[in-house]
Amino acid sequence: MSESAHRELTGPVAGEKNLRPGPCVARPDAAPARRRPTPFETCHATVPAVCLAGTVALSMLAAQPVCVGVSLAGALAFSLAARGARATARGLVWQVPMLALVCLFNPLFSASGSTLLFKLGPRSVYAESLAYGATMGALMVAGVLWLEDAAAVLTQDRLLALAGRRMRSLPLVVSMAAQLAPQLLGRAHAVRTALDACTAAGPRPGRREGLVRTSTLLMGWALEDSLGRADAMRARGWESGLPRTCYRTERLRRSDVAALVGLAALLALAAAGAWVACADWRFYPRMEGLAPWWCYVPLVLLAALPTVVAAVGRVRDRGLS
Amino acid sequence: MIGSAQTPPAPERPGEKPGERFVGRNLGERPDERPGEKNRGRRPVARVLAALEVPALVAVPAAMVALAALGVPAAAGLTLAVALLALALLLASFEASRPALRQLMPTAVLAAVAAAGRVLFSPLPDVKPVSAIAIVAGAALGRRSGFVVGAVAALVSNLFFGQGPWTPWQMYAWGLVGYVGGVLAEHGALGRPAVLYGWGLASGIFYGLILNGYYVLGYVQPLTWPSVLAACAASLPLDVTHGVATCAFLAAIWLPWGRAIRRVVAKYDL
Repeated sequence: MSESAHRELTGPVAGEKNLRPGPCVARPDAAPARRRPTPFETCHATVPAVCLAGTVALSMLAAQPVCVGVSLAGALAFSLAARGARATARGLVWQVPMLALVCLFNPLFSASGSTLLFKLGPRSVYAESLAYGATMGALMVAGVLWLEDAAAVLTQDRLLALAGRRMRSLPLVVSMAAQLAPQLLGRAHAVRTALDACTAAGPRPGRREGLVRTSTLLMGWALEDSLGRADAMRARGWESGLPRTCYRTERLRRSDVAALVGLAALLALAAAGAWVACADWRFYPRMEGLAPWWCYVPLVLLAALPTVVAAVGRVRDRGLS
Repeated sequence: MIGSAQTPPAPERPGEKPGERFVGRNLGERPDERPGEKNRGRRPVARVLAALEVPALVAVPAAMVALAALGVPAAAGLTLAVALLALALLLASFEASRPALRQLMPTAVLAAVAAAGRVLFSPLPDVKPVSAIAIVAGAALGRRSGFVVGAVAALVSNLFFGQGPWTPWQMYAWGLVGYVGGVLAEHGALGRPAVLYGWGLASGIFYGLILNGYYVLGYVQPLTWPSVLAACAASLPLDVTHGVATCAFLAAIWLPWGRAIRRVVAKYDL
């Protein structure tokens, strides 16, 4: 029996379920699934990295309601375009309560303002205090959404490509740890099953002893594996002292450089606009100091840019098929 | 002492406590190497980065206190920038120290075990083994590896829980727990149970203070002493739980993991 046919009958191998979240067998009668085009996949990874990192940084530094609203709207729109409605909705299930919590915590911890809304026990809740909490909650959710969007665009291999040749230890540790964590979760199940099956070795250990034993076995197993892997890497030339060649899947082209220059200019304009907007704005004692509309234009362009790129990519993809 | 076990492993001396043999020399460090020799052959960049490690770690709480004292409004971005800089500096120092491959692999493994442990214990609020594993890593692999284990564990486990503005803070706080664990082990202090469990308990409270501090500074305005105290008081039971859980994890894994690591050290002649 072939391996795929065996898996179809028995399901995923024990310990493998965390490694392979999707179905492992493709059905021959099913129509080929339409792949969602990844935004920014035609340009060098530096371009989406600069775009998304700049937007996140600007969002975190500009704690002003309009700036935060623009950033949140941009992050939501890009999340819908890059990750789809289902994934976005799954995230919002915990992100909206988090926004509400941050919004409520501010008036509870620090009551201030001029417009009294209501009293909650001994605490007075003011509109200004609540608005500040809502702004900061939206800021936090916008940050989370931009990071989720970045994870959808910058896959692990693209991140490794960004690390450069000079850095070798940290990318290795991070990528190995990211791959080992789900493997260990699967192996924990395998170790527990094996220990439970060893009934001839005496009475079963208590819950605490069992957990300690499982974790120790898991750690020893992974440590021995890692040393074997280190020796295998050394056998293939790692730490030999000779210069290592590297196959680059991405090359920085002229169009990428032009895009980066354009992005830097847009980021500078957006930062200047956000600076003016934040300098005039006051939450307390009364919300006032809204900057003129043109201050927000570069920020709106920056927040909308990833969604526009995603939309253009999708139109191109459909046009070609 | 992790590296002291040769092949065959040396028998424990009658007066020696088992835990004492777990700390002392780092994996990958030669037994004949004297402490002063470590920095002699290093590049200037690595030496500068190593000298900046402690100032960078201290700069984060110092910047938080300074921003709070100056009353800088909406300091979320500023404090985050300081934390990111400190993280970048410590990680660059680790990179510049050019750790051997046989030291990198255990670092990745312990970071992955810590991340997996956090995921496994996620149903119990604030019962996480990350601090304990970072301390063990600091003792076994050195302070820089301890920092990297704590930081990478936070980063990788947040792939399961969700990344956010809190990720750099968790990376910094758990990294610092591992770094201090490594410093204490280098001075032979972790052999004393009072220091080991004292730092385990304090690490939970310290972790809570950093995470509360970033939230209160960045997300609560106007910042007043009552609001700071209210936020700290609200999270104190959780922070104490975290500290006690770290002590319990240390009590559970310090000896068995020490034995397992010594076994691997002896088996592979590290």
